[in-house]
Amino acid sequence: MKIGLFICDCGKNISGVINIPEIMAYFKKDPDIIILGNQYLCSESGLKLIINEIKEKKIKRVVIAACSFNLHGLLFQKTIEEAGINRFLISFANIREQNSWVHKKDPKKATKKAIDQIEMAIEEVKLMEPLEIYYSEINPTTLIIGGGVTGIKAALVIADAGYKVYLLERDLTIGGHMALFDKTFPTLDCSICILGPLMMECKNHPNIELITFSELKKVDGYVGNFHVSILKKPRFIDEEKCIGCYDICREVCEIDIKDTFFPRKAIDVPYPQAIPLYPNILKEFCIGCKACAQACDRDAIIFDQEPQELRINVGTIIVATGYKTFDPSILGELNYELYPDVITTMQMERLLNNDGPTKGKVLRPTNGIPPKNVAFVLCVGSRNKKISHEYCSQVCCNGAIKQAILIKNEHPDTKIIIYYTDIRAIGKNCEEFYNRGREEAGIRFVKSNISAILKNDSSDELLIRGEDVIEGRLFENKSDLVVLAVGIEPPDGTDELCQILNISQDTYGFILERHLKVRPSETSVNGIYLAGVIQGPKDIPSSIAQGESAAAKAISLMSQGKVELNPQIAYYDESKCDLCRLCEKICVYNAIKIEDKKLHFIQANCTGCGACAAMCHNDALYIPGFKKSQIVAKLKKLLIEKKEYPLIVGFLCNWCAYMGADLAGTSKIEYPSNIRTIRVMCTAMLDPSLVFEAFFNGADGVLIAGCHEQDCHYDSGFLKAKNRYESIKELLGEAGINENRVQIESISAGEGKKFANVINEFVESLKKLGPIKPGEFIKSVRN
Amino acid sequence: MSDNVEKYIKRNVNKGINSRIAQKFVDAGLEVMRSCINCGTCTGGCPSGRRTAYRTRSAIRRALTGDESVLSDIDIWLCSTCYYCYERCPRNIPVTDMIIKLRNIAVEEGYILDPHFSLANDIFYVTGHGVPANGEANKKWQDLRESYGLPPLPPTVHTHPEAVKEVQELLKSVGFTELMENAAKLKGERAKKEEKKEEVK
Repeated sequence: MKIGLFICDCGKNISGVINIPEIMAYFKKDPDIIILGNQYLCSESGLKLIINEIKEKKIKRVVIAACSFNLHGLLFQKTIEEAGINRFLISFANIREQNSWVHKKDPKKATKKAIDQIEMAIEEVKLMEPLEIYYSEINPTTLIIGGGVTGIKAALVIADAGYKVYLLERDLTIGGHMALFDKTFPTLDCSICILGPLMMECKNHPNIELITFSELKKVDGYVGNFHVSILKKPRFIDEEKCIGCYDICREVCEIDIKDTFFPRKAIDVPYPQAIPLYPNILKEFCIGCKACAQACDRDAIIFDQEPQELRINVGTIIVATGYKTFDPSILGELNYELYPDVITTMQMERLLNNDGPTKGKVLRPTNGIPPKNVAFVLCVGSRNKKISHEYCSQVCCNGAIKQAILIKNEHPDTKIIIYYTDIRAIGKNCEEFYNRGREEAGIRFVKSNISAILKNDSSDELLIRGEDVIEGRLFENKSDLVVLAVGIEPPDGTDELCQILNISQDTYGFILERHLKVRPSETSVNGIYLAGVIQGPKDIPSSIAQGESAAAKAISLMSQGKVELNPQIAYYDESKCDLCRLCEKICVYNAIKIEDKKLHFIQANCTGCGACAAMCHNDALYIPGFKKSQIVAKLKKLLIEKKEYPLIVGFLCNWCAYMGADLAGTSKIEYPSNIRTIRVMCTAMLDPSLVFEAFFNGADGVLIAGCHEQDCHYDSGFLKAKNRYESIKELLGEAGINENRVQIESISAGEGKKFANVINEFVESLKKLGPIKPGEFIKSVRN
Repeated sequence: MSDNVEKYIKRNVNKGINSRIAQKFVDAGLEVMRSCINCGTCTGGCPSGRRTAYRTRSAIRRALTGDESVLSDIDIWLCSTCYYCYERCPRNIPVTDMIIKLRNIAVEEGYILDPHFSLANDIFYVTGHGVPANGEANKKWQDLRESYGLPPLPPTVHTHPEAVKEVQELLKSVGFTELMENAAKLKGERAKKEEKKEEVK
């Protein structure tokens, strides 16, 4: 098999340090290797030269000894494809970033290292396989989970682009929390007046199908082809017949459900602007008198309606399930459950709302009289380590200020104090809004968290205790009504939802984005996007912005019609598989399923991290280009003659550590030439046996370097590697090898300096240990 | 300058951090106080603070900056260790434990109140009891014990006077005696300095 070895001078960048003629002479010995040097391989003339040489000399595989794969890898891959070779039959020796730029002081060693690097690349390319790029068709349909303002806006964007949208809502009506608010900050415009038309538009849009009062049960499939099961709960109303004239049935119903904030009949609508506007029967309150059924002239009431299962197929999914507010009853000192005049901001919205129980009048729940003194307590359930809510809920400050201003507008005599720890008036125009609250509305702000809310037996006023931390003074203020500005939590059922979708959550239970900054609207699974508060607390403008961003991501995927699937993913040999299920357990991408005594592999879900291949004890699974046999061949060739002491084999993850090593190169940070790196996609693909293979062939040290845990490109890849490292250490001891010969490090793509430091220190510590020899280390055996 | 004007002039400008004391706080595990966001929950709910000048948050804040005044002030001794602040702190700071640690450091640095010193040396060390129950003055306790069918004195050093020596030996070996001696020494030195200052004035 003829292998073309193309060596780049890179001007003097490479040839100024590495002795290129010496390298050429070294490889000339092998008749199968055709060598070509060029000043600049990446230039147009250089690329032409490669194409001509491949065609003329009938070269089958290519090794490029030049800069980092990350810089021009794709360019060279496309070039050889032009010359008629499959683009995966190429291998790279990084003799610039990881050699000439960092070993300037020792050209001799640099040249030796370059020879090693090229030899490893040649061994690797010999075992490369041609791969085909696969495509998967995309069903141009989106499922949006959650019909709040985020889901509604996302649905409208996608539907307007011409794609079909299913808008799934768990509650009776779409609209979410926003539909329950009276006004919104900082503009004080009526919430339902801006949301109502959007809800209506959703209902009437030909491309949107509303599925309300329904829950997600199961999702199968992969990007572009999700199969979804939905359970539709019974409203006890025939939706075909009901025209939403809910007055008739409601009037005859005898059952008044008394609730301070949500009073209703046993048959009623959630609120008059509900979409879809169907009443429903609450079975737990209904006495079955059937008066409503008799009153309804359309026979729309069905008392024995059953839950119904729906099945739909979609190509993309957007999760916009929103939030629930914190229940303050676990903070005993606030006595929320004991005193009816201690309410939450969400309940205050009901009192302020014209459609609410008091028709927009703020009245004390105990006696129905407007309060003279109102207190707002901020940070209830937020920034609290004790209950594991360390985050700031972001909207409570502005929300409380808004409610205080609304009360002041209605009753200017009301004395209002807002007790705060820090005011975070985040958002456009919100700081001005806060200032208006102080300057124009005359709201008092006292910097204090509240230690206790108490009540004197002889009076119906509440007592609020705290420390005015600016004055350093204790206070005990009287108040008629205390409003707790409760924080935001992930809604009930988020854990189950994440299990169904196989997506990851953060410490607090919110859904984890792919990357906090650059990929905020994507989840860990291809084709599933997220938006709104379920990604983390945010206000309405930010939620809508993210909803539209998620919609754009979904549209950009669907508009392609098909999705290119990376062929460098896991492949498997069915004959070797013994169905041990270790791979199924370790895969976080849902790419492997063992059913009916067979391994089913979902290519579209696989990201090629290789965690499964490393777990497979029969080598049934493998990643092309990173096969165990390939890496072993490289190690054997490298160690057949050790050109340096101590010699370190470094397994570097493609996304962080390898980039970090490249950065050390571009920053020209010198470090010892003792390391030979092997690029792996993720440290999780590293089979522990490879570490042993390195030692048994004579390597003095092994460095495993990946991302920082939180930055892992494959979610938890580095963690998996780290756990394995612990077991490798133990085994090494038993095999008679000093366990300090293995080192695992987190090196980010920005930590070139750290990479150099790690090599420096590791070389020093290995020098102390001396060359590796069998039985050098006897592990103390515990009795 | 007339006295009339001088009383309006205050010069207590904080001149930086006493790094030795600050380090001592860190070594004692007080760095968890760095979670404090000065919300005032601890002070606001403090039953002692409602009646005295003790301000929990201020004590913590001063300790964080290595301010020695937190040790010399009477404040930390006014905590009744009721654990209200501990229970309510939204930052999960074990406030009461912190105050107890501050007290330990205060004694090490020679800041001990006279009654505490006297209790430790004149009563605890001498009798082996923090609150002695023998003698005529405590007759009512003895009566109470007897009314429950118990012997008038508990089976402690009161009934085994020879064990007082053992208690004293124990106090020595755990370093309590040394701690007290050191505190007395530091306290004495400090008093002398103050005297000199007065003389200069």
